[in-house]
Amino acid sequence: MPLLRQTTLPSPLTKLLFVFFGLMLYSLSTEAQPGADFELAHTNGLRVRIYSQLNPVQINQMHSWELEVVNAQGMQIDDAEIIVVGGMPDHDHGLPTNPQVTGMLPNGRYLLEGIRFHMPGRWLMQFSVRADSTLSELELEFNL
Amino acid sequence: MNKIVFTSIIVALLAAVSIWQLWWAPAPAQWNSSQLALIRSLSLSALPPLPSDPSNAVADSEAAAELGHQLFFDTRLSDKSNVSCATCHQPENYFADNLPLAVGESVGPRHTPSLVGLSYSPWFYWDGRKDSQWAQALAPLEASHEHNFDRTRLARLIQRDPVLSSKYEAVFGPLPEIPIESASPVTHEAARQAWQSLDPTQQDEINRVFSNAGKALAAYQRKLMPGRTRFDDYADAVQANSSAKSDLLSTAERSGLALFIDKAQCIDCHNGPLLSNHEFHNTGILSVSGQLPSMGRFDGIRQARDDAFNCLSPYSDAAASQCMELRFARDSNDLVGAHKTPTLRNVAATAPYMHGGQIATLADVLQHYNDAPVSMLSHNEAKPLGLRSAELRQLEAFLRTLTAPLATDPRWLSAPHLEE
Ligand code: HEC
Ligand code: HEC
Repeated sequence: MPLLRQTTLPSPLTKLLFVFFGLMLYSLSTEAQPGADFELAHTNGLRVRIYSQLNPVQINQMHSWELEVVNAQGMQIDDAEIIVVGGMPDHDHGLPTNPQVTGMLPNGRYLLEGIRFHMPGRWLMQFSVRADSTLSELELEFNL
Repeated sequence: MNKIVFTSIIVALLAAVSIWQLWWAPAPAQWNSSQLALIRSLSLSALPPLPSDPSNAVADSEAAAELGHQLFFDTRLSDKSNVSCATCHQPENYFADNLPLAVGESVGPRHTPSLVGLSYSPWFYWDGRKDSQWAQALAPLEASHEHNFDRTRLARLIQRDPVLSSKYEAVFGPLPEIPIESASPVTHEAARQAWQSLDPTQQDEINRVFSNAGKALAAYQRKLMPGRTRFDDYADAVQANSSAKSDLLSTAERSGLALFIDKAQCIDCHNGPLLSNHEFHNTGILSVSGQLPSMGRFDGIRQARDDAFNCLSPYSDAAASQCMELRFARDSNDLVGAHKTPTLRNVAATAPYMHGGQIATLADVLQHYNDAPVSMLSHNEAKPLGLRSAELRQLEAFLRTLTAPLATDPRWLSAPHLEE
């Protein structure tokens, strides 16, 4: 059933567009803050630093991440609204869980609870951060 | 003349096709580093310690496991004193039963899964409608097609039996007065009326004994661990020497392993040392004949949220903040028809397969994945594989390396001796 396969797998063109828009939205910073597992930077200067409470990140284990949000001036933002969704672009499905920011930690980081990955492979996490009435979309891509 | 040419072309084509189908895919001579990492991730050596269950304060208590052991094999926990957990979860069959559909007091709608290594799973039942192993254990006791018993009869039985009551009280403290013979909010009409006649304190006391029995049954089942297989020995051996050749697995088995972790994509869902991600997927399995297609996890997550014995209930020992799975469970339409990925440990010994025992043999399971039929409900996540029949047989050969006696003290594997 070649037809079925064509409709369910993303075409190379879609993938290319995906990568292109991805590059427009953010660029992955090469130097993460010491201690941070990942660092994302938006072109508007906003940065999200990710500290996983599970090290190394592994499949099939429920865990939480801590997020640090800083503005272009390097100031920590503590009143951002953050929504996180994740999935596997190659498999056209999401996370098995529905992670949520449930509070702030004393060190000014946001606690993102409810993360579990259930397949090895390429994962994409999308962060929507609303701070100072600006919505910034950032993406994190990694392999497990 | 033309006819002869035509026939010989056809014959040659057929021969070519069958040779192609039967041509064995070669086993890799050497595993590369990403293959080695995947192989390591499937080895029993990578199995972490059993995670704690904060909702069950006695999950790791020896005394609770002893009580659970006795309850698990006790047929008095059924309406006609003829069904125990072990009627369907048979130790000699890896705690499954080799039947397409389970038979208790009558034939049920689902196939009996193996319980080996199950305590690693955050969710229970094919559709994940229970969020702990102790809450799961309560359901078959009251299901009319399984034990057809009820919580009040169970509490009375424990109270009247000197061995059970002393074991119970040693773990959970004094048993309450049980003022009535039979009552439950969820079984037949008479029992439901009797339940209504109890005051809330009495109901709570009975529920407490009931949930404690479940916690003891869970503590017992946490002992049921998979044993090391030929595959595990191979997986560990190749880490030291990445040459794929070894006496531990045959060429066909190694080719099957290569397919499993790569081209056949089995490892997407059957991953980790238990060869299961314990998550819910729609794999296009036909419904059981005579039944509507199962809604699977779509309904299961709703039932788990509404369950009177879930992690957030008063009978759970966990703080609400510890109920991570229940609080953050995803709920969306693509869970329609999704069932829990079963472990592939001991899979050669646990036929038939799937939630309704719909598929009789491993060869038929592999044919199913190769075809990846369109799902009746929602969509089949698995895509057609395009494997040749020789490759399917290699995959099957690999699956047959995953069976071994349990790594559990044999005393847990039969009914307890009651001389103490
Ligand atoms: C009549 C046969 C039968 C009896 C008796 C029975 N079970 Fe089961 N068990 C099943 C079937 C069938 C399923 C799957 C049902 C479903 O998913 O809807 C199951 C599922 C389970 C599961 C979840 C497995 C998984 O993969 O999530 C556990 C744990 C379990 N049973 C333990 C028990 C215990 C403990 C008892 C005794 C209190 C018991 N069972 C009694 C047939 C039985
Ligand atoms: C998308 C996830 C997924 C993939 C990929 C997948 N499986 Fe499964 N597997 C499942 C689920 C879910 C079930 C149970 C389905 C049901 O009962 O409805 C299952 C059931 C099985 C069973 C039956 C086990 C039992 O005890 O009933 C076998 C055997 C099996 N899979 C082998 C494989 C092999 C071999 C591959 C690769 C060719 C594979 N699976 C790929 C999710 C998957």
